[in-house]
Amino acid sequence: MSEYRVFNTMSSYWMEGNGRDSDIVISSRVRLARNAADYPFPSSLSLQREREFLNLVASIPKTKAGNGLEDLDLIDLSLVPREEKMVLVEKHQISPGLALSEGVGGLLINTAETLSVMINEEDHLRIQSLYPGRSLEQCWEKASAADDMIARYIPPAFSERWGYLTSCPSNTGTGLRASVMLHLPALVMTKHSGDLLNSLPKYGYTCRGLYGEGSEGKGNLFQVSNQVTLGLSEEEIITDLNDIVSEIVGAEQKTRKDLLTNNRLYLEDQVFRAEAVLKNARLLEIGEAFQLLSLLRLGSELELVDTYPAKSFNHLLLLMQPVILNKLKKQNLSKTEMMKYRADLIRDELKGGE
Amino acid sequence: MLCEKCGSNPAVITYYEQINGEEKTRHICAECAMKELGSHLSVGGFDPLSLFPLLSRYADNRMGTTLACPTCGMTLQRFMDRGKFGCADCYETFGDRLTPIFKKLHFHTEHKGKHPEGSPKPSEDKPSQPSQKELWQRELAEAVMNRDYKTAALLKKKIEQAEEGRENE
Repeated sequence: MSEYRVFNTMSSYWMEGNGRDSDIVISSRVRLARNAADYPFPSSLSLQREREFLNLVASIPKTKAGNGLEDLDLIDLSLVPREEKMVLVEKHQISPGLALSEGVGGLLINTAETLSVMINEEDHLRIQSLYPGRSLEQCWEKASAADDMIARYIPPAFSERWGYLTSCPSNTGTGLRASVMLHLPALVMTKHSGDLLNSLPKYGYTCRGLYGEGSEGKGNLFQVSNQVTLGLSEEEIITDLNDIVSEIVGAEQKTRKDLLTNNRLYLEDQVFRAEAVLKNARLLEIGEAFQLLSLLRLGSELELVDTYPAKSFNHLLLLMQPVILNKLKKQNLSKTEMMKYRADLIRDELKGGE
Repeated sequence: MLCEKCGSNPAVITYYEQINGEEKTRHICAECAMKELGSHLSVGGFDPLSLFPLLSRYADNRMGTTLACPTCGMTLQRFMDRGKFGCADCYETFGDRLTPIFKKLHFHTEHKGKHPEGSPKPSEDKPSQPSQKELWQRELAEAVMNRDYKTAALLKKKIEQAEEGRENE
């Protein structure tokens, strides 16, 4: 499996740290759930039929160069060891469900990792597009183009009444889940994140901590996404989510400014402490690392400390995770070794940024 | 949130387990998932229909949960329990019984948005008038949703009478 780039390269285009509002919106993602009209949903398929469907996807000819869909690799996940599949989970390219499934799963993925398609997950196809910053429109265009291309070869299960038919009724209709990853340290620091985020479900949106389901994510990272997929057009869903993102970004920016004006000493203390620990620690737990990197990122963006590129922070988000660390060091690390390598990685990355 | 098993890695996986009928939510990291759970883990355990115990019970009594999809064999009861369709034909099979579910999940019951290339756009379609029976079925679903069982029973009678009438034709 080592021939595939996605297992070996821990940088993806979404980490570039560019794009609109990229100081707060780390990345944007659009996912389309699709099923083939001629096959029952994966949960009702035998292994043999799952294999048949994967082969059907493999038979789609590579499209002409220049349309952005030409460099897709198809990975047969049934041939990939579980540890390697977990690397893809930590990279947010496949779901834990697909990684742990005993079925015949697959992944189509392009070189920049801006487009991927999970095969035989809960639905036959989960088309995903991922870009840095605030770029939901771009994600939608890319995912929709891939959807059109695939639909020419695999007619989708679709009804006039209910739209795209999905395994779970929570995805029926557009099958579209749009989400943004937000870095909200100032709102968390001032304890405003709870109010803001608890109010979202009322409007048909969910918010969760990036790592885990708790109301406060590790490293002040949150994922906001739409829940409603039926009865709204894709453009409406994206426009509405963009409006919500504008509001949250505005609140975070205002709170950062307030902190600078009214609590500068407190803020500086937090940021300088974070920098000191990250640049000197020899052992780092992942939770502590997330938290300190979040503070340093804030300090860097507010120019309280030397400026570090956003790309470094995004890169570390990925590298610090346990399965990827094991993969990088080519061994099963003990808890202490893991903390040591994590601290080493962070010191190295931050040295480069000065 | 940190992993509930090792307490050191971030929890990236949420799953649900039932112990003595009591449902528990677990958050664990990729590493522990790999080590300890393996294939018997049912992941992504979001079950929207667990939100509708009442509806599910009503379905038991009144709505004929033995109704089964001719393509994949999924019954309405099993769909209510696990919250997942077995195939695309389940939608047509369960038909208007899905209306309250979609209403609750999406506040809407009909698709608006992308059509696959080559399929007619809704504007190109002739608006098809729902039959009286279909209207009653939608009202029935709505009545169940609103727990208005009196109206529901009335509507069900009307539908049955219409069906009997057709059979006698």
